[in-house]
Amino acid sequence: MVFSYLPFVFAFLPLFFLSYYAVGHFFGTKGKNVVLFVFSLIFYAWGEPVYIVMMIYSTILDYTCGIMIEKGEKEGNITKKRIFLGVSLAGNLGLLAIFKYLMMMVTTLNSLTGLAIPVPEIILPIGISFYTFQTMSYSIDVYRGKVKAQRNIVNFGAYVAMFPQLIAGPVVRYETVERELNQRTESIDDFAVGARRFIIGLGKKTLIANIMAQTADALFKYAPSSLGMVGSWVAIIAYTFQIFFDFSGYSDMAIGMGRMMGFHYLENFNYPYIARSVTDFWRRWHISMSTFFRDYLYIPLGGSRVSKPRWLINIFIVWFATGLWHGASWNFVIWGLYFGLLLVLEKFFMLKLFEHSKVFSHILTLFFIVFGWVIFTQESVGGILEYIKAMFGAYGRFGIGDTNAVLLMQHSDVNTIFIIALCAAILFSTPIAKIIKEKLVAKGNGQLPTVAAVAYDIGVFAVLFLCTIQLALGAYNPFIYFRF
Amino acid sequence: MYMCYNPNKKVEKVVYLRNKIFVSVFCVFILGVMISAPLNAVLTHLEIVKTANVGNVIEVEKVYEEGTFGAPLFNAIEEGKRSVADVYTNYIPFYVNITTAAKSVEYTLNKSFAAYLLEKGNELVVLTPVDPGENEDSSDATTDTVIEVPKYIPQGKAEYIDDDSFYRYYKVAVQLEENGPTEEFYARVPEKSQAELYEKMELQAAKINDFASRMPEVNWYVFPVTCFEDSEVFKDLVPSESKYNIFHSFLDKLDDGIQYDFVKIDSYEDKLTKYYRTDHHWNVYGYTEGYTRIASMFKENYPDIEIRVPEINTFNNEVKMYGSIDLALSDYTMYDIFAAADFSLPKHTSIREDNVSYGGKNTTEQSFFIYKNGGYNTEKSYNHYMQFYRINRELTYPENNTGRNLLIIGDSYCPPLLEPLASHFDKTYVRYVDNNFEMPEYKYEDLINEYGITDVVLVQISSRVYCDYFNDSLLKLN
Repeated sequence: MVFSYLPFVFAFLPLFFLSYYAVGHFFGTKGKNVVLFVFSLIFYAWGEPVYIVMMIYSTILDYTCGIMIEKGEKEGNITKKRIFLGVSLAGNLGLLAIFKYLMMMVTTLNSLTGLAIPVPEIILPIGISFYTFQTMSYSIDVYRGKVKAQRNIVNFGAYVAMFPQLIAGPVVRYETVERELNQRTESIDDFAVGARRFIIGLGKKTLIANIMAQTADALFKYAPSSLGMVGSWVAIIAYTFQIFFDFSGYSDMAIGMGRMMGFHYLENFNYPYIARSVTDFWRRWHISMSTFFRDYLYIPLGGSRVSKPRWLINIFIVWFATGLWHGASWNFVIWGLYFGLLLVLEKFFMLKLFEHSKVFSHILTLFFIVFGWVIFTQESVGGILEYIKAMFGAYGRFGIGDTNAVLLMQHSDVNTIFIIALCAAILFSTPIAKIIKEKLVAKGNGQLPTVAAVAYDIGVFAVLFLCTIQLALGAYNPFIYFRF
Repeated sequence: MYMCYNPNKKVEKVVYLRNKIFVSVFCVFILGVMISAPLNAVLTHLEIVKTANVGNVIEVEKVYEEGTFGAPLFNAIEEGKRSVADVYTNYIPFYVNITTAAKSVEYTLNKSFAAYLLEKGNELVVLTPVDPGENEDSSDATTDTVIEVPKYIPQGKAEYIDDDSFYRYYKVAVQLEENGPTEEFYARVPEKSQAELYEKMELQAAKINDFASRMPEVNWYVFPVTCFEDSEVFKDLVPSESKYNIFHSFLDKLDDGIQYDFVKIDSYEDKLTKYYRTDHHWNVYGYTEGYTRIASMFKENYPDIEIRVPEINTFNNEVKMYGSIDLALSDYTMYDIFAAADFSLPKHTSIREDNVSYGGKNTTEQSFFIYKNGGYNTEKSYNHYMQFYRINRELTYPENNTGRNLLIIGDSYCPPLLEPLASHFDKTYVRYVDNNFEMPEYKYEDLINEYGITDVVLVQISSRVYCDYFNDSLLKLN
C-alpha cells in the first residue's frame, strides 16, 4: 500500500487512528504499540503478503541479538557481544544480498567469466533496504551502548514495522524514537501539525511529483536520439523535480503521521536544490541515509582522521555503498562514485572556486545534480553517453521550431497543467514559503497573524481536496523510492 | 488524546484553538468519506440509491495460480483488496460529478497550450514520402470554362484532447450541411509521425512481398482497415498528423501479385457513416463494405463466389455503445448506436480462440438472439462491438466443397467478417494478432502446407498493416 492511495487515506488511516486512540485510552503506550504493530503488518501485507516473513525474521533476529549483546555487556563478555553483532549484521546484510543483489551478482559474474549460471528471479521485498538498515543500526547502537536493548518484542516490532516510514523512509534510528516508543504523549497541537505535514506531503506527491512523472516517463520511453535536445532536457528536468517531490513528499507524510501519533522523526530534506555545492547538497538530500552511512560506515572506517590515500579510499567505499543501496544495478554504483568524485574534487579545490560567485556555484551544482539524475535513470554506460549527447544537441530537435519536438511535447503531457506544476515545483524547491511564514510569525509576536493562519489552513484543505480529486481521477501514481 | 496547552498563555491558547478547529475539520472530512463510501456502495447494491457506473473497473492486482501454496487464501485476500479499492474509488460521494468537473477543468486549462502546440506543429513542414500519383488529375481542371456555383464543402475542426503511449486523441466537429447541425466524433491517431514510421513501412512491405513470392501458388490479399488519419479529409484537417502518404506509399510498394483494397473515406459523411464516433473500430456499414471488398477480391480468383448482402439489424436503435475512446478519455458524453449485420449464413461449425468447441452452435446467432430480446448488458463500460462477435480460430462450412482453405491474419477489426468470409471456403483458419497472445514461431511455408491453405488475407488496422505498429502484424511467421 502507498500513502497516495484512496483506500489508505480514507479507510486505513482513519481506522488506524480510531483504534490507536481507543486502545491507547485504556491500555496506554503498550496498547498503542500493539495497534501500531498490527496495522503496520496489515499495511505491509497489503502489498507483499508473502514477504512479511522477511520482516518478521529481521525483527526477531535483531530483537534477540540486541538482548544478547546487552547481556554480553553486562557479563563483560566482549566475544559474546561481537558474535551477536556479527550475527545481526550477517543476518541483515545476508537478507539484502539474497533478495536485492543476488541477481546482479550472478549477471555480473556471468558476463565477466562467460559462465551461464542461471539468474534467479527474485522479487525485491518492499522496503527491505529501509528496515534492514534500521534493525542493523539498532544492534550497532546497543553494541555501542548508545541505547538499551528493547525487552518488549511488540515495542520492537512496532519500531521495525512502523508503517509511516516502513517502505520509503526516512531511515529512523532506534535512538531517535527509543524514549517515545516506551512512553509518549499526543496532543491536539502535535496532531494538527502532523496532519498539515501529511497533507502537504500528499500534495507534493500527488500534485507535483505525479504530474512531473507523467511527462518524464512518457519521454523516457524514447531513445535519446528520438528525444533530441529539447526532449532530453524536458525529461530530465521533469525527473529532477519528480524524484525530489516524490521522495520528500513521502518523507513529509511519514513525519506527519509519526507526529500525529506522538513520534518526532528527524527531518530528511532541507531544500536540496538550493545547495551551492555538492557537499551542501548531500547535507540537504536524504539526510537520514547520508548520516547513516556517515555514522555506521565512514566514521568506523576512520573518516578523515587517516592518511590522505586511506581517506580517499574511505570516501569511495562510502559512495560505492550509497550507490549500491539505491539499486542492484551498476548505473547506481556509477552514480554513487560520481558524487564521491565530486566531493573529493570539492574538498581539494572546487569549494574555494565556489566562494567567488554564489550564482555560479549554484548553477554548477544544479548541473552536477541534474547530470547525476541522468546516470540514475539510464541503465547502461552506453545509455548515459547517448543521453548526454542528446542533451548537447547531437540529435537535433532544438525546440519549438521542430515538428517532431512539438509532437513529442504534445504527446508527453507537456501541457498547461505540467507548466503550472513545474512553476510550483521551482517555487517550492526554494524556502520562499518558509521565509514568508517566518517573517509573518516574527511580525505576529511568535504566531501567524489570524488572517494568514486561516488562509494557510484553507490552503492546506484545498490541497487535500485537490489530492482527493487527482487520486479519484486515477492519475499516474508511481513511487520512485518504493523499490529501494 | 491529551491536552498539553497552557491556558495562561494567550498565544498558545490561540494556536490551540486554531489547531482544534483544523483537527475537527480534518477528522470530519476523512471520517465522512470513510463512512459514506461503503454506505453508498451498500445502498447502491440494494438499489436504494443509484450510482452512475463510469466504467472505472478496479481489477485484482495479482492472481495466484491454482495449485500454488496458499492460492485460495491469497486470491481471496486479493479479491478483498479489490473490493476495498472499488468502494473507495467508485463509491466516494459525488465521484462522477467530481471527476467530470475535474476533467473539464483539466481540459479547459490544457486546451490553449495544446492548441498552440498543434498550431505550431501544423505550421511546420512534415517530412513525408512523395506520392507521385497524388495530383495527377489536377492539370485537367482548368480546361473547362463553365462557372460552377460554389458548393458547400464541410470544414471540420479538430481539437487535441489527450494521448496515451500509442495514440493522440482529437475531437472533431463538422457541419455536414450548410447551417445544419454540428456532428462530433473522436479521432485516434498513431502518435508517431509519418517520417518515423516510413522506415518500418518499407520493411513491412518487403516482408509481405517476400512471403507472397515464396509461395506463388497461394493468393495473397491485403486489407488495411482505413482509419480517419489515412484519408485526404484528415490530411486537410490536421496535416501534421496525416498518415495519408505513408498509407498509399505502402500500397504502391506491394508486388503486383498481391491484391489489396481498403474502405474508402472520401468525406466526413463517409467517416460518420462507416465508423463509430466514440470507438476506433468500423461499424456495421464499415465492415459490410469491408466484407464486400474482400469478397470481391476473392471473386476475381474464384468467379463462383456469390457476394452476400446482409440484413442490418438496428435493434430498434436502442443499444447505446460507449466506445473505446469514451473509455480511454473517461468521458461518456457522446455515444453510438450499435447495430449488427446478419449475413444469413449456411450451416457451419466454429472453434473459439480459446479452444472451446461450441458443438456447432453459432455464437453470433446467440448474440442476435440476446440483442433482439433486449437481454444485452447495459453498462457503459460494456463494449458491444467487442462482445457481440466471438473470435473463432477455425471455421468449417461442411457443405461447401470448394477445395479451397483460407487463412485470416486479423486483429479486432476482423471478428464481424470471420463467418461471412469463411463461407466462401471449406475451412478457414484464423490467427488473431494480439500483443498479449503467445504464439509459437511458425515457418510460413509449414503453416500453409499444414493446413492446405490456398488464400491468405490480412485484415488489420491500417497502421498495423503498413508499418507493423505493434510489432505483431505477421505474428511469428518467418
